[in-house]
Amino acid sequence: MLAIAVVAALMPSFALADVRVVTTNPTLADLTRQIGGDQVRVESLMRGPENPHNVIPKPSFVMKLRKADLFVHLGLDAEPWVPNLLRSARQARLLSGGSGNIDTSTGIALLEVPSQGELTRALGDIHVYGNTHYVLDPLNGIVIGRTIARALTRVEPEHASLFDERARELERSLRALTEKLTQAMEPLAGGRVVTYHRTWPYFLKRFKLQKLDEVEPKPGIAPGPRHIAQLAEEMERSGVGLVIVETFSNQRTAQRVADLSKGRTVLLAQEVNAVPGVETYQELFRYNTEALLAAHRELNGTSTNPPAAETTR
Amino acid sequence: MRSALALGTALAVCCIGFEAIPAEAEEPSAATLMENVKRLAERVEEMERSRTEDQRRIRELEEQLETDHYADEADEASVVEAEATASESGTAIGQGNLLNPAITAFLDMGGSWSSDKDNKARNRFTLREAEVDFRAAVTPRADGVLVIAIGEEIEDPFDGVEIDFKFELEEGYLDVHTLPWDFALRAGKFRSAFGRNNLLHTHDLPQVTRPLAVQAFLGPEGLATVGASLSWLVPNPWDRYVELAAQVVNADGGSESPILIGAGARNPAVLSHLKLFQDVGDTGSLELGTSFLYSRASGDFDDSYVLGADATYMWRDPQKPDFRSLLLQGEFFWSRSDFLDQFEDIIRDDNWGVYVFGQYQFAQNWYAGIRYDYTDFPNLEVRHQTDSDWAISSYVTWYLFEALRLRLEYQHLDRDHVDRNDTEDAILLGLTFYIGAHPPHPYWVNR
Repeated sequence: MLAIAVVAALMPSFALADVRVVTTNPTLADLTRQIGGDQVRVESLMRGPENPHNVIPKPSFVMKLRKADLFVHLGLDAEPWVPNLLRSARQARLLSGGSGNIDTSTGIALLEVPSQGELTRALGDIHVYGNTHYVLDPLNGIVIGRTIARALTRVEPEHASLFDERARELERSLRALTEKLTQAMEPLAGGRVVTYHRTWPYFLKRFKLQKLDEVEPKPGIAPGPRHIAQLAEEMERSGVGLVIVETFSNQRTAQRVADLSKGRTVLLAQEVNAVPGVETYQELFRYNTEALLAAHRELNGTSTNPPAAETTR
Repeated sequence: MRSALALGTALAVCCIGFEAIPAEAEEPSAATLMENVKRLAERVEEMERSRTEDQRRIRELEEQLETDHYADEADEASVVEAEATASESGTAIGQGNLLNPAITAFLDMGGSWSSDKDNKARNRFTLREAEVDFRAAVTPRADGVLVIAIGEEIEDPFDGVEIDFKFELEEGYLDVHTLPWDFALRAGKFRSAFGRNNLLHTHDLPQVTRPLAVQAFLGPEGLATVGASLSWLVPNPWDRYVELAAQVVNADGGSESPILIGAGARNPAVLSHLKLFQDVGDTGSLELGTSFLYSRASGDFDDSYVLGADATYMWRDPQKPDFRSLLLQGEFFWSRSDFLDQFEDIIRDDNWGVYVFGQYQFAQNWYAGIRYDYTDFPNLEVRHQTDSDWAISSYVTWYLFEALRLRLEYQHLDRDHVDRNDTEDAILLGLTFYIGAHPPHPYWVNR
């Protein structure tokens, strides 16, 4: 045993100069990469298609956290598996309030914040602080980028100006992208859509879309046949044809809603790496807006129903 | 606006510059003129540079203003939030409650329909257990955990049925989860780290019943007794998860454990568990463990020990991680105990037991599984040396909601006892729910 300990102490991997960052999800990993560049080594615990609320905190996560200088997570109650994982990791710096614990919800204006009387599981799996899918507004990426830059600066003050410049670069890139995509989304602006889970309020608000209803009657609760029928009817009546679905939601249920309402489903990336080809934060928004526009065009061409955007404008 | 102003100033300065030149030079030669023009050109160039710089700065400030606006929005939101919290917790009671522990209450109900009509514990509904779990940080690096349970006890089910509700402190311990050099320390009453199943509370069990071998070797509800535990993440050159736990626990506390001596034990028991964990591919994982429980001679009992080995394989569909998964788990127990019979002769008794189960998730909220059990009985006070049981069970689990679970299980049990040799077929029902905070559980347990 002693021999093992000695070998471990001599291992070169413990003495590398890079900042080691572990993030809960691939989206935060990409943002960290954009700010940290060559100065960081980033690893995400979660895989892209997974539901952030239902990740299994395996003991191998502990091994990744042990060597991490920084642990970047969404904060709030977005990742209920995190507190126990941090307890198992045995690293004081990564515990809540520790110098290496980076909560990216700092400075974010949250949507759907429940008032105190509403806090009951009768409403489904609600989040007590507000909707936790804030990374889906590209401008929130700017705030997250700054939080990450500040954290990296604390660990490696000699690269402060580099991190700062990259945070500015990210900001420029996200502003330009948001402007471009908002313009591209103009044909859909003001239109209504149905979403499967309550994942999209930040995204919809940024790109001027409105939500008609959700496929889940309450967050995290699977819809029954009656809810599906009622929803389809509501969609037809309101001329809404697009059903946005995440990779972790039930695609078949979403398809049934779309079939019944003569609409169509759009699989969007709720996370970097959730679908093939979406490998950066910017690509996520490009992919999602293109997918929505393509679905909208298709619906326009094939459906006799006027699509949402046309009827509401 | 500001850039226009800067341009105006620059032009004005230029004009003044031009007027000043002829006044200074009375007889301007071609050379001086050229010199002046050159100087002017330089000056204009410099002004242009400064203008570009100004414009860049203005753009930056504008961007800053806009982002600050977002930050302001966020700040305002948090200020409003803080004010709301402050106003609602103005009373002394409110302030006290803010630091209350996370509380989860579980209820575990069941029922059975069995071919065994003599067993009064069968063919009835049972309220197996109601449990309240409190936990909160005691210090930044330590949590306090208190688990109180009220469980239904059926005494002597083959004579007249007598049902009692037993109030029990299931667990109560200080968990120092973060210590230097990857250590963690636990002190109080806690479930012993023997194998995998023993760590589970009744409401977390993957099947309706606890595996027969766990019941026979560690006690009907597993082993939980008072003591201290030290665990260490063993550093190793392969960078693998290796955890070693060593526990010293009261041997008199586990009154229902067939291995621990019970009341009158003079020495504490020692327990250790070694756990190895390895990711297999993208979404699979394998955990292997060995356990050792040793109880020293005391009274009529000589030394006795139990060895255990466990393996858990888990897999999730990489494309549909929330919809398809597979769990395979098995545990093996072997024990040796020596004690004196009524003629003061030393009797050596070796026993073994095993369970294996496989469980497949075939839809988002549905799991189906099958379990095989075989066990001897190390407790010779209630069982004969040659007694053994085997059973096969199949079950379906349905999560109606995250906090509400239904389970239907069919169990075929074959007893081979000196005083009883028969089989039993039973249909078991389980209904479990929790209210309150999201409860923690081992990684391989569903939700």
